[in-house]
Amino acid sequence: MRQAGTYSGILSGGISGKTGPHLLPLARIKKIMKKSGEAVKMISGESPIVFSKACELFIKELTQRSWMVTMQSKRRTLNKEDVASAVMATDLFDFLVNLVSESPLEMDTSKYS
Amino acid sequence: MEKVVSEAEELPKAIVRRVVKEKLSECSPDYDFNVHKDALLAFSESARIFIHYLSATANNICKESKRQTMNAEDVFKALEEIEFSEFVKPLGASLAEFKKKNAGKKVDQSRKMRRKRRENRGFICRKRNQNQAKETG
Repeated sequence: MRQAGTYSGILSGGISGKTGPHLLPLARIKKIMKKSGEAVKMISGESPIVFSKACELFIKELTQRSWMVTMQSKRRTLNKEDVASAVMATDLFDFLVNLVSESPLEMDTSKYS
Repeated sequence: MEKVVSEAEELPKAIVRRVVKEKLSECSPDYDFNVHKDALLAFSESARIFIHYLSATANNICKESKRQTMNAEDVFKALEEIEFSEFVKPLGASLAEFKKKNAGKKVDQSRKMRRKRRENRGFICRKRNQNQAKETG
């Protein structure tokens, strides 16, 4: 859900005008960042904003590549196997290989912290 | 199947869904599409791991520069390092726009504060005069 308040409207426009106010809640992003490792303690005010937008671009990139797999199979429903195929086929997504080789719901997240 | 990651640490499902559907509308404007909920979960988890990966890389860069606080420059360098350099330009533009809007907001806020202080002073003076008038009158 969009967070109303301080940040709503600040990033309206952005890269694609259609997206309107920034999408991903900054507090949540900060929480995830701090779980990246014990060393990540201090984050400047602008960093979560960059992360929020980077995340959006990343999801779009992964979506596009996954959709290409769906289309090649002449289907209209994008499923998780398409995402896995896209990850395996793209060097850029090597860091996700462990995620897709297990079921997302059973993933052991401690590997990544 | 048990979820390993708590909901508080996940990215909001509705937002991930919106980003995915927006992209699919661009990719296939003339055709119907559908996204399985497991695929949405996969996108959400992938994005979370992306944040971890990018954070850890940016943090290393920050430490190498002997600083304690990770900043936007560290993140841009990290993106180059993990081969997502095509993100740097649009992110730079987005950040510049945010700073511009935020600067405007800060100026407005300080103007509002000054106005409020002036009004308060005016109110206090009027109140004092009224009280003095009552005492002498």
